[in-house]
Amino acid sequence: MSSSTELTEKKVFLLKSLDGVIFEVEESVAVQLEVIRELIEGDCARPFISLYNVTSEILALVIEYCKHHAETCSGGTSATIADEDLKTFDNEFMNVDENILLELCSAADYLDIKSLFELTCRTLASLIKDRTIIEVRKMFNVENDFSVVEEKAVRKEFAWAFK
Amino acid sequence: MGKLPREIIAEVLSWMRVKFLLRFRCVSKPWCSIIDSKDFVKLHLNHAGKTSSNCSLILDGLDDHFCLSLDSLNRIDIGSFPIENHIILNSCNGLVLLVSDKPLLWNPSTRKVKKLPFTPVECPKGTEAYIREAFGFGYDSKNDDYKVVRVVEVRDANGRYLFSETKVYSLKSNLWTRVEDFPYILPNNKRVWGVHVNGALHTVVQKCPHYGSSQSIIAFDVGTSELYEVPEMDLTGENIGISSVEAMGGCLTALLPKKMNTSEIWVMKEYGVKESWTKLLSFVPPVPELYMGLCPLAYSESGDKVLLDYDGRCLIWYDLRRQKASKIKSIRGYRQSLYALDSLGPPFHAELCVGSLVSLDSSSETDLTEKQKGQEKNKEKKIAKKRDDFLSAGFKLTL
Repeated sequence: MSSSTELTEKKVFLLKSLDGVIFEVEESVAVQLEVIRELIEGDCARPFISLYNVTSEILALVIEYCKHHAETCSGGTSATIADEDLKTFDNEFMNVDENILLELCSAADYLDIKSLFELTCRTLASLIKDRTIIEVRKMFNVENDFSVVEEKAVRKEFAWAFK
Repeated sequence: MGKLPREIIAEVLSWMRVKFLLRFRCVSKPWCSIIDSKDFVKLHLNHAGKTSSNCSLILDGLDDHFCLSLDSLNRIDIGSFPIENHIILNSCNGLVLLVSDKPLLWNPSTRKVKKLPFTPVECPKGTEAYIREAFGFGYDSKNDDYKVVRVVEVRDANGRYLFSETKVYSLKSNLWTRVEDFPYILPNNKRVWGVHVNGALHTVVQKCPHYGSSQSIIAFDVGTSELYEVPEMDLTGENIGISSVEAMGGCLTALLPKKMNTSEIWVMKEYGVKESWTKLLSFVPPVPELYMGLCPLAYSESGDKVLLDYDGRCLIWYDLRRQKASKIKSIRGYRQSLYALDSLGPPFHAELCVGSLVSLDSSSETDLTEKQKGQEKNKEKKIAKKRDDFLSAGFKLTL
């Protein structure tokens, strides 16, 4: 707590991705990662943090997202304009390949960024709603462990939902 | 991409409509068990209220029933309506209470129906149970149970008011229990009892069992079966008083009729706090000679509009910023203009219903609480484990 008042210059953190790429981020961006915020609050944060579960490709996107959200929220614009700006940004930000989307979702969960986690989950939900069972299995890498008879029975319980 | 953990799959699925979830039970056994789990049903319900694409309006007409999606107001298919000659009373967490001679619970999203067991009206000999009865339906969060409340007004052979028998049905136990009598005369409209806010059912009653006495908003706590008064706003002399209450966006709203049939809708922003009553809108009807009912149904997803049911004749989007009715949705069976009125009663009753997987099965209480305890313990363990994993594997603190 004391450190923030003592320092006049902006505090920066170095985040290292799984593949060894180092990203320099300001504290206002780093605190959007709930796990890092907790470390800072608990006075356990060191300026150099390795994130072993996130690749540089995904970490770059995560930082872009956090930066935009941090800037918009502290920009002094009115709440409604900021809201609309974030909505537009979020929509564009979600316009990525679905494998990237799955990894972003997983990273947002791991780094505990609530707004990004909800955004990716909602985007994935709307993406898969019209897909067939086989397409969904493929996308989520899920093995069908039903026997033919079992699957038929589960399908029959709510047969109308397949029309 | 490797397999996503169960918790992430559950979060993704929790933003989907019930129809797709019932389909995706076929993906695999783990997916089926996620969708069927009690925790998931609650998570889904929590999210369903946040998106208007997951809410629908059920329209109960004189000879037609149908369902509209809240975001587009287009018709959606809910299969055949479960019962003929039933009227829709109120809905809570995706379950709907319907009544004809017997009450029924219905989940339109899963298309499941449950008939409630018969319970007699317990009145002493020589008295007659007056046909006036009221039903309400709500969720008891303390006991994680759904309850139906029935009040039957009992009068003697001369029609003199005696008492109002009150019984509560618990979905969990599948039993009716008699509770303390309702000490007021029942309001005339059958539907007015089911206003569910803050775990209680609300209605406007005359304070004494004779007409012309002052009114008040009464709440029936679904968990404790206790009645209490909800504070009203301070009103100036020219006000007639509150004519009805409704629930919208989790808050209690009140309809205040004014001169020339203008109506005001007020919102109690903080439940139980008198000072939090705020005027939301003032509605000027195009035909002031006729008294028209007005019922607020829902906020738009952005929160700047309110959907109003204008006397069961048409649906109106009211723009809160511009302070006027902005759009009248034409729906088959509904009048397309506010001016095209006829002498018939309201053609429709619109009930807002969220899409949920809430089950209508009764189950023994001990089973449930033990299971819940187990799940909570697991959850705690999981959270602790997640943090440990993160700190050990994910982080390496280096100087």
